Amino acid sequence: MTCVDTADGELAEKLAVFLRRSLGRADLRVSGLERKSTGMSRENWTFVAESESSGGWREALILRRDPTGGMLETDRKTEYEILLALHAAGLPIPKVVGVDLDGEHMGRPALVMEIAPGNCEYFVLNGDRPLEIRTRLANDFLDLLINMQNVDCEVAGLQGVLEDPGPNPALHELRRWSAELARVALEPMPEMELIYAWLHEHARAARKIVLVHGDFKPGNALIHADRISAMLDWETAHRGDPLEDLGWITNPARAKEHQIPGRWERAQIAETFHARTGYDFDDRELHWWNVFACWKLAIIVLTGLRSTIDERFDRIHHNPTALYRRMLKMVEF
Amino acid sequence: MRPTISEQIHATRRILNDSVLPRVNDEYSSRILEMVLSNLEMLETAWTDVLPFLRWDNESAQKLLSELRNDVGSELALAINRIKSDPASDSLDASTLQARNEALQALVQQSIRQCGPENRRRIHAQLLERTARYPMRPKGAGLANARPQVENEKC
Repeated sequence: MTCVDTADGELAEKLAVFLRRSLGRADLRVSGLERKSTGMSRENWTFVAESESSGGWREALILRRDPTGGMLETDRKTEYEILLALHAAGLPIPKVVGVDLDGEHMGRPALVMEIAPGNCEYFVLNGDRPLEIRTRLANDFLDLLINMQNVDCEVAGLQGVLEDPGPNPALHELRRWSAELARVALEPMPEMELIYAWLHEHARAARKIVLVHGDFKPGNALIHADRISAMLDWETAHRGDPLEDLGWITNPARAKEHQIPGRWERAQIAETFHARTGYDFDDRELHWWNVFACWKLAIIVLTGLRSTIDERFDRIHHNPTALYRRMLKMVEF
Repeated sequence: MRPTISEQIHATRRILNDSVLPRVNDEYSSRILEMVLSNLEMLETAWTDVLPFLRWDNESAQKLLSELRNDVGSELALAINRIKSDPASDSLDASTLQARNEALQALVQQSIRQCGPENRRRIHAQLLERTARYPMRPKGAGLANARPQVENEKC
């Protein structure tokens, strides 16, 4: 089986037919279709759509199509409904201009979205910008996270879309990702089992259920004129504990992406989150979510590894032993 | 025996890097090829450590399981006895060592669910040592090929 499909004329034609119907522009043309190397869970293809009869309408768009395999296997319909709801709620989400949920037109489930201005900068908080700008951006990211948590899922119409995690979202997520681990595991991994045992024994109930992004990071955002212009990649969004995303961004394994040494570190992020939300928690509870973040990240890497071995993914992944080691150092028995 | 495996991997990497990569025109294929080259670079030096690692890991797991045997259920204890009494595997045969490794680690994994705190601490220490010795370590392990900046590649 081949996963490589980089300059596909047939795909461009399918896309044009699909968009003519979706957008009601009979003479719509697609040009410059190019597969991008970013995106581990979707194929990302950028292109330009044009229509002369619509007053010279021209727009740069992106096709996000389900891959044959990748690092995450998630539901396209749920993601689509989240994107619509959060765009309507005023969050910086690119507009969806076409959707093919069952892959009838594009071969596999796909979304077509507008391209928001800006760059994707994984390490923007530790890049070349002056410290004051980076610190403000770090604050902006936290504010965006809090604004997302303030979205009322019922008002936004997401109650029926996103599963109710019950009173203990920590155990709910543990079960969910444990099932994913069982699905993708190529060999016994006692490291993951030992961490699972620790997580299971130390999970605590939440006092509030909020919308969780699931992979909140600068690498899933666009920066334009030193501001966040868009938050992307909502395929792992779900309802859960307010500390889940906080645990993700204060996870020591991702410190270079989320923290600024001496200015915006774990303790400062946690304090600022508490001050802005009023949500009470202690350090051990946040620590649980830090360990969970590493464990979940390891499963995402193992999913990529499984896809590689199954010849459904064109990246080479390895057992995430560095993450195992980090997690083992984070727990005591 | 020349060319050695390392020499062959090195030559493959050099040819791909010097003769193929400059002629790959689209960004996606270039990036994928760079990742493949990076993996070959890791394998070029790491492959020699795989057999010694498997031998060490199997011996250590077998010793650990002997210590855990009295702290697990009778069925698991029986499985531990069985694997211990198996004839020693050929220490130069990578496939046999790998198969035995999976069998031993499966028993360690099962033991975690059954043993008490003291033996969990023992397993914890053993796994920390194991992760320090693992021979194949790609650059940026665990971070899913994060890149510093990508212009206009996301919606």
